[in-house]
Amino acid sequence: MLTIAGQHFSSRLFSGTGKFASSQVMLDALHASGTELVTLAMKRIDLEQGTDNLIQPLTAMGVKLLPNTSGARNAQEAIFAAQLAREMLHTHWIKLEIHPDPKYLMPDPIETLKAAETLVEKGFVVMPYVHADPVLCRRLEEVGCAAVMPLASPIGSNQGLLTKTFLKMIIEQAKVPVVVDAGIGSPSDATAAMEMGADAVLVNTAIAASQQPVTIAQCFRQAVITGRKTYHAGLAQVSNQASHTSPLTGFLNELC
Amino acid sequence: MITVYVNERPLEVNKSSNLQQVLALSVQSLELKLDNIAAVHNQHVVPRSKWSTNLCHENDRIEIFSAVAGG
Repeated sequence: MLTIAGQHFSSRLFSGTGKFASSQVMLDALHASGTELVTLAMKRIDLEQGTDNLIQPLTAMGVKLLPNTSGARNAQEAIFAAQLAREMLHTHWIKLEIHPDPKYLMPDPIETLKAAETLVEKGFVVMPYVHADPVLCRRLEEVGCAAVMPLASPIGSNQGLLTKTFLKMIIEQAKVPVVVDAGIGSPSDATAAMEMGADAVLVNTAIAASQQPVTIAQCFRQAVITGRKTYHAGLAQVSNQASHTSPLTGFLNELC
Repeated sequence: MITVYVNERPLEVNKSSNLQQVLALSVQSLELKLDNIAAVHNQHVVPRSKWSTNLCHENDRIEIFSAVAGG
């Protein structure tokens, strides 16, 4: 069972709540996914229009809420956002994400490390979203992050495991859970990440923006279970040469 | 009465109002519960335990945040 900061998760599929066509579709898809951890963002409310109350239905579903610091452009803003999240959602857990670049949403490694250090000191359970950089992941682990969340490819791009080689290094080295986040585009990507030994995957766009989010959520659920099971069972070795699976008795030659 | 600014909108409140009262007044017409918001008073995040002792003054800036969908 996956454990992060003392909390156990029987599902290794984490999900975001963004980009769904409606709150109901989101809730149905999350339910179908079997996820136990979902991410949320924060926003200054529009007092004229109000805002959907997401927290109550999600809490009623029994999922753990993981607020993110999306929108933060530096460590200072991320720390501020984490404090807001703690008051709003009554949780010390924070998905630390700092991406000043609006085009590719690449996370800023230096600001992320700075913020992580401070947030850990302040008692937060920090789960940083980072590029698939093994050195950075190790540094984040050393300052006390509860997990690392390296990206597979740019956020929302559905390009899959473009960083595969580096994800493997991170998984090999990490002593904290590795959650592959961002860019996972299909259930087969999720399976591949889990087969590599990732502890969990976080999927949002691939479910929310699909034509049938509930069905795709079910597919991801199965994909993650399959990938984890495969990882435990151990795949056969890859070889550059052919190796026959049937006996070569040469009996056809004998018939001639 | 004094004027405070809640998410940039002016709001007339009693002179001795505390943050808890201003927040309650601001979200009363919305579906939001006070339990699900965070408050910033003059650029400082105020823990909910201090909302009722945080007094508001003329031209104070108050910001209310809530959770929205996100990845």
